[in-house]
Amino acid sequence: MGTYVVFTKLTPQGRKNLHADPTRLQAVTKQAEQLGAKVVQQYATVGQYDFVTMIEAEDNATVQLIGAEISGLGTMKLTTFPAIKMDRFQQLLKMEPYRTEPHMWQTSLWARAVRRIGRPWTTTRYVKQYCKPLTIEGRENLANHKGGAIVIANHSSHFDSPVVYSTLPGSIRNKLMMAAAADKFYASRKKRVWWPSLFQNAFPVHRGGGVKQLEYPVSKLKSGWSILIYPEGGRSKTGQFARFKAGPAIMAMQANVPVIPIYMEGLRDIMPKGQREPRPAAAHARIGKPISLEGVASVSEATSMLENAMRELAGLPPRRTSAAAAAAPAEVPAMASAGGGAS
Amino acid sequence: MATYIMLSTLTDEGRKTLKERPERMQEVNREIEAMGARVTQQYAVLGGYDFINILECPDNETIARISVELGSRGTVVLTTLPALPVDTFTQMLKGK
Repeated sequence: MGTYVVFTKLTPQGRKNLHADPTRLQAVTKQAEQLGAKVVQQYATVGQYDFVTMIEAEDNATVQLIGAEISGLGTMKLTTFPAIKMDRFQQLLKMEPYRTEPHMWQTSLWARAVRRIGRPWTTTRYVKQYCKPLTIEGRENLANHKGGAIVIANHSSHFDSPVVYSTLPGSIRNKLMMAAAADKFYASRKKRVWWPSLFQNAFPVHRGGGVKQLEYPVSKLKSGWSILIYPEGGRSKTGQFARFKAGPAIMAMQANVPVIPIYMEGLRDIMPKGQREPRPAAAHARIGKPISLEGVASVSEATSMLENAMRELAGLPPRRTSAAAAAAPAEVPAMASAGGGAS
Repeated sequence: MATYIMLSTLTDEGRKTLKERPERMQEVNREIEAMGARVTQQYAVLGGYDFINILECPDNETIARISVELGSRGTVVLTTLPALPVDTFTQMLKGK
Protein backbone atom coordinates (compact mmCIF):
# COMPACT_ATOMS: atom_id res chain seq x y z
CA MET A 1 0.00 0.00 0.00
CA GLY A 2 1.39 3.38 -0.91
CA THR A 3 0.41 7.00 -0.50
CA TYR A 4 0.20 9.29 -3.50
CA VAL A 5 -0.48 12.97 -3.91
CA VAL A 6 -2.46 13.91 -7.01
CA PHE A 7 -2.55 17.47 -8.32
CA THR A 8 -5.50 18.18 -10.56
CA LYS A 9 -5.95 20.98 -13.06
CA LEU A 10 -9.37 21.22 -14.68
CA THR A 11 -9.63 21.67 -18.45
CA PRO A 12 -12.15 24.19 -19.84
CA GLN A 13 -14.52 21.25 -20.37
CA GLY A 14 -14.05 20.19 -16.76
CA ARG A 15 -14.82 23.67 -15.55
CA LYS A 16 -18.06 23.71 -17.53
CA ASN A 17 -19.08 20.33 -16.12
CA LEU A 18 -18.34 21.35 -12.57
CA HIS A 19 -20.29 24.55 -12.99
CA ALA A 20 -23.30 22.67 -14.32
CA ASP A 21 -23.16 19.92 -11.72
CA PRO A 22 -21.00 20.36 -8.61
CA THR A 23 -21.60 16.74 -7.53
CA ARG A 24 -19.42 15.63 -10.49
CA LEU A 25 -16.51 15.85 -8.07
CA GLN A 26 -17.90 13.13 -5.83
CA ALA A 27 -18.67 11.01 -8.88
CA VAL A 28 -15.04 11.15 -9.96
CA THR A 29 -13.87 10.32 -6.44
CA LYS A 30 -16.18 7.33 -6.43
CA GLN A 31 -14.84 6.17 -9.77
CA ALA A 32 -11.28 6.34 -8.45
CA GLU A 33 -12.32 4.31 -5.42
CA GLN A 34 -13.87 1.67 -7.62
CA LEU A 35 -10.57 1.39 -9.46
CA GLY A 36 -8.79 0.60 -6.21
CA ALA A 37 -7.72 3.88 -4.64
CA LYS A 38 -8.79 5.20 -1.29
CA VAL A 39 -9.21 8.96 -1.13
CA VAL A 40 -7.74 10.05 2.18
CA GLN A 41 -8.04 13.79 1.82
CA GLN A 42 -9.05 16.22 -0.84
CA TYR A 43 -8.75 19.98 -1.09
CA ALA A 44 -9.79 22.57 -3.61
CA THR A 45 -6.91 25.00 -3.97
CA VAL A 46 -6.21 28.47 -5.28
CA GLY A 47 -3.14 28.77 -7.48
CA GLN A 48 -1.51 26.58 -10.07
CA TYR A 49 -3.71 23.58 -9.32
CA ASP A 50 -7.44 23.27 -8.74
CA PHE A 51 -7.42 20.25 -6.45
CA VAL A 52 -4.92 18.41 -4.31
CA THR A 53 -5.85 14.86 -3.32
CA MET A 54 -4.08 12.36 -1.09
CA ILE A 55 -4.87 8.83 -2.07
CA GLU A 56 -3.80 5.41 -0.94
CA ALA A 57 -3.39 2.70 -3.56
CA GLU A 58 -1.88 -0.74 -3.83
CA ASP A 59 0.99 0.15 -6.18
CA ASN A 60 2.22 2.50 -8.90
CA ALA A 61 0.42 0.51 -11.60
CA THR A 62 -2.97 1.02 -9.92
CA VAL A 63 -2.34 4.73 -9.75
CA GLN A 64 -1.32 4.84 -13.40
CA LEU A 65 -4.49 3.02 -14.37
CA ILE A 66 -6.63 5.43 -12.38
CA GLY A 67 -4.76 8.37 -13.87
CA ALA A 68 -5.34 7.09 -17.39
CA GLU A 69 -9.02 6.37 -16.77
CA ILE A 70 -9.76 9.70 -15.18
CA SER A 71 -7.75 11.96 -17.42
CA GLY A 72 -9.34 10.05 -20.28
CA LEU A 73 -12.57 11.82 -19.42
CA GLY A 74 -10.97 14.95 -20.85
CA THR A 75 -12.06 17.10 -17.95
CA MET A 76 -8.84 17.28 -15.99
CA LYS A 77 -5.07 16.97 -16.14
CA LEU A 78 -3.41 15.04 -13.36
CA THR A 79 0.07 15.19 -11.91
CA THR A 80 0.80 12.39 -9.43
CA PHE A 81 3.62 12.10 -6.92
CA PRO A 82 4.38 8.97 -4.93
CA ALA A 83 4.56 10.07 -1.29
CA ILE A 84 6.21 8.73 1.84
CA LYS A 85 4.77 9.41 5.28
CA MET A 86 7.08 11.72 7.17
CA ASP A 87 7.94 9.45 10.10
CA ARG A 88 8.88 6.66 7.70
CA PHE A 89 10.94 9.10 5.65
CA GLN A 90 12.84 10.11 8.77
CA GLN A 91 13.62 6.46 9.42
CA LEU A 92 14.86 6.05 5.87
CA LEU A 93 17.15 9.05 6.24
CA LYS A 94 18.75 7.56 9.32
CA MET A 95 19.22 4.15 7.78
CA GLU A 96 22.80 3.25 7.01
CA PRO A 97 24.22 0.77 4.54
CA TYR A 98 24.54 -2.73 5.96
CA ARG A 99 25.87 -6.14 5.11
CA THR A 100 23.32 -8.71 3.93
CA GLU A 101 25.68 -11.55 3.06
CA PRO A 102 26.27 -14.12 5.82
CA HIS A 103 29.81 -14.97 6.84
CA MET A 104 30.08 -18.43 5.37
CA TRP A 105 32.86 -19.46 7.76
CA GLN A 106 30.59 -19.17 10.77
CA THR A 107 29.77 -22.88 10.83
CA SER A 108 33.32 -24.07 10.17
CA LEU A 109 35.15 -26.06 12.83
CA TRP A 110 37.49 -23.27 13.88
CA ALA A 111 34.61 -20.81 14.33
CA ARG A 112 32.71 -23.33 16.40
CA ALA A 113 35.77 -23.88 18.55
CA VAL A 114 36.33 -20.16 19.08
CA ARG A 115 32.68 -19.72 19.99
CA ARG A 116 32.82 -22.60 22.43
CA ILE A 117 35.91 -21.28 24.16
CA GLY A 118 34.54 -17.75 24.23
CA ARG A 119 31.12 -18.68 25.53
CA PRO A 120 31.70 -18.16 29.27
CA TRP A 121 33.00 -14.71 28.48
CA THR A 122 30.53 -13.66 25.70
CA THR A 123 27.32 -15.13 27.08
CA THR A 124 27.28 -17.09 30.29
CA ARG A 125 28.78 -14.45 32.56
CA TYR A 126 26.14 -11.91 31.53
CA VAL A 127 23.31 -14.32 32.18
CA LYS A 128 24.79 -15.17 35.58
CA GLN A 129 25.30 -11.55 36.44
CA TYR A 130 21.93 -10.14 35.45
CA CYS A 131 19.33 -12.93 35.55
CA LYS A 132 18.69 -13.26 39.25
CA PRO A 133 17.51 -15.92 39.15
CA LEU A 134 16.90 -17.53 35.74
CA THR A 135 14.21 -20.17 36.06
CA ILE A 136 13.49 -22.59 33.26
CA GLU A 137 10.32 -24.57 32.81
CA GLY A 138 9.44 -27.26 30.27
CA ARG A 139 12.90 -28.62 29.47
CA GLU A 140 11.35 -32.09 29.50
CA ASN A 141 9.46 -31.12 26.33
CA LEU A 142 12.74 -31.34 24.44
CA ALA A 143 13.76 -34.74 25.85
CA ASN A 144 12.85 -36.60 22.67
CA HIS A 145 13.95 -33.91 20.26
CA LYS A 146 16.78 -34.58 17.82
CA GLY A 147 18.30 -32.61 14.96
CA GLY A 148 17.65 -29.12 13.69
CA ALA A 149 14.73 -26.92 14.70
CA ILE A 150 13.44 -23.40 14.47
CA VAL A 151 13.44 -21.80 17.87
CA ILE A 152 10.99 -18.92 18.21
CA ALA A 153 10.67 -16.60 21.18
CA ASN A 154 9.00 -13.36 22.14
CA HIS A 155 11.39 -10.44 21.81
CA SER A 156 11.62 -7.52 24.16
CA SER A 157 15.32 -7.06 24.84
CA HIS A 158 18.80 -7.52 23.40
CA PHE A 159 19.23 -9.73 26.42
CA ASP A 160 16.78 -12.29 25.03
CA SER A 161 19.31 -14.16 22.90
CA PRO A 162 21.79 -15.01 25.68
CA VAL A 163 18.86 -16.22 27.79
CA VAL A 164 17.44 -18.43 25.03
CA TYR A 165 20.94 -19.74 24.57
CA SER A 166 21.25 -20.69 28.24
CA THR A 167 17.77 -22.18 28.27
CA LEU A 168 18.29 -24.69 25.50
CA PRO A 169 19.86 -28.13 26.05
CA GLY A 170 23.40 -28.62 24.75
CA SER A 171 22.32 -30.66 21.74
CA ILE A 172 20.54 -27.64 20.26
CA ARG A 173 22.71 -24.91 21.76
CA ASN A 174 25.91 -26.20 20.20
CA LYS A 175 24.38 -25.99 16.75
CA LEU A 176 22.31 -22.84 17.09
CA MET A 177 22.38 -19.93 14.67
CA MET A 178 20.65 -16.61 15.23
CA ALA A 179 18.78 -14.45 12.77
CA ALA A 180 19.92 -10.87 13.37
CA ALA A 181 18.49 -7.70 11.86
CA ALA A 182 21.02 -6.61 9.23
CA ASP A 183 20.29 -2.89 9.64
CA LYS A 184 21.09 -3.14 13.35
CA PHE A 185 23.85 -5.68 13.75
CA TYR A 186 25.56 -5.56 10.37
CA ALA A 187 25.69 -1.81 9.68
CA SER A 188 28.76 -1.19 7.50
CA ARG A 189 30.04 1.59 9.74
CA LYS A 190 30.66 -0.95 12.51
CA LYS A 191 34.29 -1.95 12.64
CA ARG A 192 33.58 -5.52 13.66
CA VAL A 193 30.66 -6.80 11.62
CA TRP A 194 32.17 -10.28 11.94
CA TRP A 195 31.75 -10.18 15.70
CA PRO A 196 28.10 -11.37 15.91
CA SER A 197 28.81 -14.00 13.23
CA LEU A 198 31.71 -15.40 15.17
CA PHE A 199 30.56 -15.16 18.78
CA GLN A 200 26.77 -15.33 18.51
CA ASN A 201 26.69 -17.41 15.34
CA ALA A 202 24.35 -14.77 13.93
CA PHE A 203 23.60 -14.14 10.28
CA PRO A 204 22.13 -10.98 8.79
CA VAL A 205 18.46 -10.81 7.83
CA HIS A 206 17.48 -7.87 5.68
CA ARG A 207 14.13 -6.97 7.25
CA GLY A 208 11.37 -6.80 4.66
CA GLY A 209 13.73 -8.36 2.12
CA GLY A 210 11.42 -11.18 1.03
CA VAL A 211 11.69 -14.95 0.79
CA LYS A 212 15.15 -14.99 -0.83
CA GLN A 213 16.52 -14.14 2.61
CA LEU A 214 15.53 -17.58 3.80
CA GLU A 215 17.67 -19.62 1.42
CA TYR A 216 20.76 -19.54 3.63
CA PRO A 217 19.03 -20.49 6.90
CA VAL A 218 16.98 -23.21 5.18
CA SER A 219 20.16 -24.79 3.80
CA LYS A 220 21.66 -24.71 7.31
CA LEU A 221 18.51 -26.24 8.82
CA LYS A 222 18.73 -29.07 6.33
CA SER A 223 22.23 -29.85 7.49
CA GLY A 224 21.19 -30.13 11.12
CA TRP A 225 21.62 -26.61 12.47
CA SER A 226 18.93 -24.88 14.51
CA ILE A 227 17.86 -21.29 13.95
CA LEU A 228 16.72 -18.83 16.59
CA ILE A 229 14.41 -16.22 15.11
CA TYR A 230 12.04 -13.72 16.67
CA PRO A 231 8.88 -14.00 14.59
CA GLU A 232 7.60 -10.56 15.56
CA GLY A 233 10.42 -9.09 13.47
CA GLY A 234 11.71 -6.78 16.20
CA ARG A 235 11.62 -5.97 19.87
CA SER A 236 8.30 -5.15 21.50
CA LYS A 237 8.21 -1.95 23.51
CA THR A 238 4.99 -2.70 25.35
CA GLY A 239 5.42 -6.41 26.00
CA GLN A 240 2.46 -7.18 23.77
CA PHE A 241 2.73 -9.58 20.89
CA ALA A 242 3.00 -8.12 17.41
CA ARG A 243 1.68 -10.16 14.46
CA PHE A 244 4.09 -12.92 13.53
CA LYS A 245 5.97 -12.68 10.24
CA ALA A 246 5.73 -15.62 7.88
CA GLY A 247 9.49 -16.35 7.76
CA PRO A 248 9.73 -18.93 10.58
CA ALA A 249 6.83 -20.99 9.22
CA ILE A 250 8.19 -20.88 5.67
CA MET A 251 11.62 -22.06 6.84
CA ALA A 252 10.21 -24.83 9.02
CA MET A 253 8.03 -26.11 6.18
CA GLN A 254 10.79 -25.94 3.57
CA ALA A 255 13.38 -27.65 5.74
CA ASN A 256 10.83 -29.95 7.35
CA VAL A 257 11.92 -29.25 10.92
CA PRO A 258 9.82 -28.68 14.05
CA VAL A 259 9.37 -25.31 15.75
CA ILE A 260 10.22 -24.91 19.43
CA PRO A 261 8.42 -22.00 21.11
CA ILE A 262 9.96 -20.31 24.13
CA TYR A 263 8.13 -17.68 26.13
CA MET A 264 10.26 -15.41 28.28
CA GLU A 265 9.22 -13.13 31.11
CA GLY A 266 11.13 -10.49 33.01
CA LEU A 267 13.62 -9.57 30.30
CA ARG A 268 12.02 -6.19 29.94
CA ASP A 269 13.09 -5.49 33.52
CA ILE A 270 16.67 -6.38 32.72
CA MET A 271 17.15 -4.37 29.57
CA PRO A 272 14.09 -2.91 27.82
CA LYS A 273 14.25 -1.44 24.32
CA GLY A 274 16.01 1.91 24.37
CA GLN A 275 18.12 1.15 27.43
CA ARG A 276 21.83 0.43 27.08
CA GLU A 277 22.84 -0.82 30.50
CA PRO A 278 21.28 -4.01 31.89
CA ARG A 279 20.21 -4.24 35.53
CA PRO A 280 19.64 -7.44 37.51
CA ALA A 281 16.12 -8.89 37.66
CA ALA A 282 14.37 -12.24 37.73
CA ALA A 283 13.89 -13.98 34.38
CA HIS A 284 11.69 -16.91 33.55
CA ALA A 285 11.69 -19.01 30.40
CA ARG A 286 8.99 -21.51 29.48
CA ILE A 287 9.76 -24.02 26.74
CA GLY A 288 6.80 -25.40 24.83
CA LYS A 289 6.41 -28.71 23.03
CA PRO A 290 8.04 -28.82 19.58
CA ILE A 291 5.41 -28.06 16.94
CA SER A 292 5.48 -30.05 13.74
CA LEU A 293 4.19 -28.19 10.67
CA GLU A 294 4.05 -31.32 8.57
CA GLY A 295 0.85 -31.51 6.55
CA VAL A 296 -0.24 -27.94 7.33
CA ALA A 297 -1.88 -26.56 4.21
CA SER A 298 -0.64 -22.99 4.01
CA VAL A 299 2.02 -20.69 5.40
CA SER A 300 -0.56 -18.37 6.91
CA GLU A 301 -2.22 -21.26 8.70
CA ALA A 302 1.15 -22.42 9.99
CA THR A 303 2.00 -18.91 11.11
CA SER A 304 -1.20 -18.59 13.09
CA MET A 305 -0.53 -22.03 14.62
CA LEU A 306 2.82 -20.75 15.87
CA GLU A 307 1.27 -17.53 17.04
CA ASN A 308 -1.37 -19.34 19.06
CA ALA A 309 1.14 -21.79 20.51
CA MET A 310 3.17 -18.85 21.73
CA ARG A 311 0.09 -17.12 23.13
CA GLU A 312 -0.84 -20.30 24.96
CA LEU A 313 2.62 -20.43 26.54
CA ALA A 314 2.12 -16.84 27.63
CA GLY A 315 -1.29 -17.70 29.07
CA LEU A 316 -3.17 -15.59 26.52
CA PRO A 317 -6.30 -16.60 24.59
CA PRO A 318 -5.73 -17.57 20.93
CA ARG A 319 -5.91 -14.85 18.32
CA ARG A 320 -9.19 -14.69 16.42
CA THR A 321 -9.59 -17.28 13.67
CA SER A 322 -8.76 -16.38 10.10
CA ALA A 323 -12.47 -16.02 9.27
CA ALA A 324 -12.84 -13.40 11.98
CA ALA A 325 -9.66 -11.71 10.83
CA ALA A 326 -10.99 -11.53 7.27
CA ALA A 327 -14.04 -9.72 8.60
CA ALA A 328 -11.77 -7.10 10.13
CA PRO A 329 -9.47 -5.98 7.30
CA ALA A 330 -7.85 -3.40 9.56
CA GLU A 331 -5.47 -6.10 10.74
CA VAL A 332 -2.19 -5.98 8.90
CA PRO A 333 -1.56 -9.32 7.21
CA ALA A 334 1.44 -11.16 8.53
CA MET A 335 2.71 -11.73 5.00
CA ALA A 336 3.69 -8.08 4.61
CA SER A 337 7.29 -9.09 4.90
CA ALA A 338 8.50 -12.62 4.87
CA GLY A 339 11.58 -12.09 6.99
CA GLY A 340 11.22 -11.83 10.71
CA GLY A 341 14.45 -11.21 12.55
CA ALA A 342 15.79 -9.50 15.58
CA SER A 343 16.68 -6.01 16.56
CA MET B 1 -8.55 28.20 10.78
CA ALA B 2 -7.94 27.94 7.06
CA THR B 3 -6.04 25.20 5.31
CA TYR B 4 -2.98 25.74 3.14
CA ILE B 5 -0.95 23.33 1.12
CA MET B 6 2.72 24.09 1.04
CA LEU B 7 4.86 22.46 -1.62
CA SER B 8 8.51 22.56 -0.75
CA THR B 9 11.60 21.91 -2.78
CA LEU B 10 14.93 21.72 -1.01
CA THR B 11 17.91 23.71 -2.22
CA ASP B 12 21.40 22.20 -2.25
CA GLU B 13 21.97 23.73 1.15
CA GLY B 14 18.73 22.21 2.45
CA ARG B 15 19.61 18.76 1.18
CA LYS B 16 22.89 18.90 3.05
CA THR B 17 21.17 19.89 6.28
CA LEU B 18 18.58 17.14 5.95
CA LYS B 19 21.20 14.48 5.44
CA GLU B 20 23.27 15.67 8.37
CA ARG B 21 20.39 16.28 10.73
CA PRO B 22 17.09 14.61 9.78
CA GLU B 23 15.47 15.85 12.99
CA ARG B 24 15.75 19.38 11.60
CA MET B 25 12.33 18.76 9.99
CA GLN B 26 10.67 18.55 13.41
CA GLU B 27 12.43 21.67 14.60
CA VAL B 28 11.06 23.58 11.63
CA ASN B 29 7.57 22.28 12.39
CA ARG B 30 7.89 23.60 15.93
CA GLU B 31 9.03 26.97 14.65
CA ILE B 32 5.99 27.09 12.38
CA GLU B 33 3.81 26.47 15.40
CA ALA B 34 5.51 29.30 17.22
CA MET B 35 4.48 31.57 14.35
CA GLY B 36 0.81 30.67 14.74
CA ALA B 37 0.25 27.87 12.24
CA ARG B 38 0.24 24.11 12.60
CA VAL B 39 1.50 21.38 10.28
CA THR B 40 -1.25 18.74 10.20
CA GLN B 41 0.25 16.41 7.64
CA GLN B 42 3.50 15.99 5.89
CA TYR B 43 4.72 13.72 3.13
CA ALA B 44 8.02 13.31 1.38
CA VAL B 45 7.28 12.90 -2.33
CA LEU B 46 9.08 11.80 -5.46
CA GLY B 47 8.75 14.07 -8.45
CA GLY B 48 8.72 17.80 -8.88
CA TYR B 49 8.70 18.60 -5.17
CA ASP B 50 10.43 17.18 -2.11
CA PHE B 51 7.74 17.62 0.51
CA ILE B 52 4.06 18.32 0.68
CA ASN B 53 2.82 19.89 3.87
CA ILE B 54 -0.72 20.60 4.92
CA LEU B 55 -0.99 23.50 7.32
CA GLU B 56 -3.72 24.97 9.44
CA CYS B 57 -3.20 28.68 9.59
CA PRO B 58 -5.46 31.60 10.64
CA ASP B 59 -5.01 33.78 7.54
CA ASN B 60 -3.02 34.64 4.42
CA GLU B 61 -0.83 37.11 6.28
CA THR B 62 0.39 34.52 8.76
CA ILE B 63 1.20 32.05 6.04
CA ALA B 64 2.98 34.76 4.04
CA ARG B 65 5.11 35.53 7.08
CA ILE B 66 5.97 31.88 7.56
CA SER B 67 6.79 31.54 3.91
CA VAL B 68 9.18 34.47 3.96
CA GLU B 69 10.76 33.39 7.23
CA LEU B 70 11.46 29.84 6.03
CA GLY B 71 12.41 30.92 2.53
CA SER B 72 14.92 33.46 3.80
CA ARG B 73 17.15 30.71 5.16
CA GLY B 74 17.99 29.53 1.69
CA THR B 75 17.35 25.87 2.42
CA VAL B 76 13.95 25.50 0.85
CA VAL B 77 11.82 26.98 -1.95
CA LEU B 78 8.14 27.11 -1.09
CA THR B 79 4.95 27.31 -3.12
CA THR B 80 1.82 27.79 -1.07
CA LEU B 81 -1.70 27.04 -2.24
CA PRO B 82 -4.69 28.20 -0.18
CA ALA B 83 -6.95 25.14 0.10
CA LEU B 84 -10.51 24.28 0.98
CA PRO B 85 -11.79 20.83 1.90
CA VAL B 86 -13.58 19.54 -1.17
CA ASP B 87 -16.89 19.02 0.64
CA THR B 88 -16.98 22.68 1.63
CA PHE B 89 -16.06 23.60 -1.91
CA THR B 90 -18.93 21.55 -3.38
CA GLN B 91 -21.35 23.08 -0.88
CA MET B 92 -20.19 26.52 -1.98
CA LEU B 93 -20.74 25.72 -5.65
CA LYS B 94 -24.20 24.35 -4.96
CA GLY B 95 -25.18 27.28 -2.78
CA LYS B 96 -24.34 30.02 -5.27
